[in-house]
Amino acid sequence: MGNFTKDVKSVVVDIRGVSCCMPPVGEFIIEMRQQPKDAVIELLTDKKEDVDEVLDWIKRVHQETLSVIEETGYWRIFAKKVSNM
Amino acid sequence: MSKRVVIVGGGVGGTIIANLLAKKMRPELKKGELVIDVVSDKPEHFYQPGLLYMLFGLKHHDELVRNEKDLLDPMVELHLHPAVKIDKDKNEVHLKNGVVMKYDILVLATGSRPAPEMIPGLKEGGNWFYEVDACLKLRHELVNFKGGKIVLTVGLPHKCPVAPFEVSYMLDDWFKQRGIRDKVDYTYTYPIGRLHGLEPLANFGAKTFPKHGINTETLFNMKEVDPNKKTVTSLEGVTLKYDILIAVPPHKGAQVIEDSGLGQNGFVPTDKFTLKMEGSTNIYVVGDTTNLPISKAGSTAHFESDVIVENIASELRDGLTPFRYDGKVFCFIETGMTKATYIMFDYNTPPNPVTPSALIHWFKLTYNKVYWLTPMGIL
Repeated sequence: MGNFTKDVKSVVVDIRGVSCCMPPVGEFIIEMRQQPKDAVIELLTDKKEDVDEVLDWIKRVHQETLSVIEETGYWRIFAKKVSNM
Repeated sequence: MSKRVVIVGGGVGGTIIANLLAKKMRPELKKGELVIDVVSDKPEHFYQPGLLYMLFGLKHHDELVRNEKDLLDPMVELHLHPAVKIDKDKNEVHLKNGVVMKYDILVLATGSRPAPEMIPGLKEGGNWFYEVDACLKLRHELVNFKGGKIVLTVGLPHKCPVAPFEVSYMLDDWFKQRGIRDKVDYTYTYPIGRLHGLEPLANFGAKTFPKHGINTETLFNMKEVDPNKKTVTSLEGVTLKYDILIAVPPHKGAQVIEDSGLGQNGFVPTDKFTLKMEGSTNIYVVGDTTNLPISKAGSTAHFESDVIVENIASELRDGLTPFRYDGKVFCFIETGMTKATYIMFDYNTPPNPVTPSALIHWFKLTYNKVYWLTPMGIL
């Protein structure tokens, strides 16, 4: 997992600094559904409380969480679209 | 040598920008130092929020349409040929009639559209009110409806994010007026774990939906519709039966954006403050065309347009682009057939719906009538 972020080109969804609108899980759903199978999506969020919600949804719809990294003040969630949806 | 600003798209964002820029840059236009072009694929300008009222027979199609030419400043050139390719490396817009337009500054205002084809069975089994023909079809079904199950489903992303709320409240009132509310089992579904993307609005819905007899099902992302069995199934594994399925289909951006490699599904990666296309110095993006995590709404395009116009003018005159968009959005929300509320928010300030009132409802109806002043750059 340590080398994962260097090896894979991901589609980045950066919603840091926005507190008004669709929560991270919503933006993540949008991107996950738009991308083709096998795409890797990287979600950047500064809302810790929403990280679990995103991970729960990934599990619920049978996609794959690759990694969750806590950076200074924000989180990076990497997930792979393993089947069409 | 004159500068050329090309605006692709004649919806609310494109038209406001053209008109405000023409006003602001009048001296340069008169001297021939600036040319402003709008490229549109249709001669009419349609007021999309009016579809909600058309659904209930409260607006007629003709009330919601004007000629785009009549809305544009006379010094703006309108080209009624679809753009088929945008070459950002050569600063060119290619039109379907073969004309290639060179630009100094490009504005992408190509909008979004419902894409029911993205959900298997939705086109055949569902209804929606985001397009004229579909809206009239749904109206016909509702008028002939004698009772049963109605399910409302929401795909992401979609424009006018408060419309699913509005139509739910309005249908409750409308069925009451028709004396069949007790025969209607209405379920509102939403793709995330609350009733709306905007948290205060989700809380507002959680408080008010029970009073309107609206059932709810959250974490419901449409996977497929079976028109024969009349069922809609979610990615999360829940299947709901319906007699009428009202869907807000997931939306896509314009094909020319996708074909030109400018953005997945027609949405352009955009800097949320400068509103420039990421990695570009001379392409601005407005309204639904952006991939910003904010509402795809007319008011969003309106507020963004002000920033884009100021920056284009400043750039052409001084070489500076100091203005920044703060994420401002304003939406009226009908909470029935006679009352409404409104929300206003920006990137850092969540909305706070006020107590619904008849006054706000009438204010919204008034705005529906005077909307045309907005694209003209007057209101």
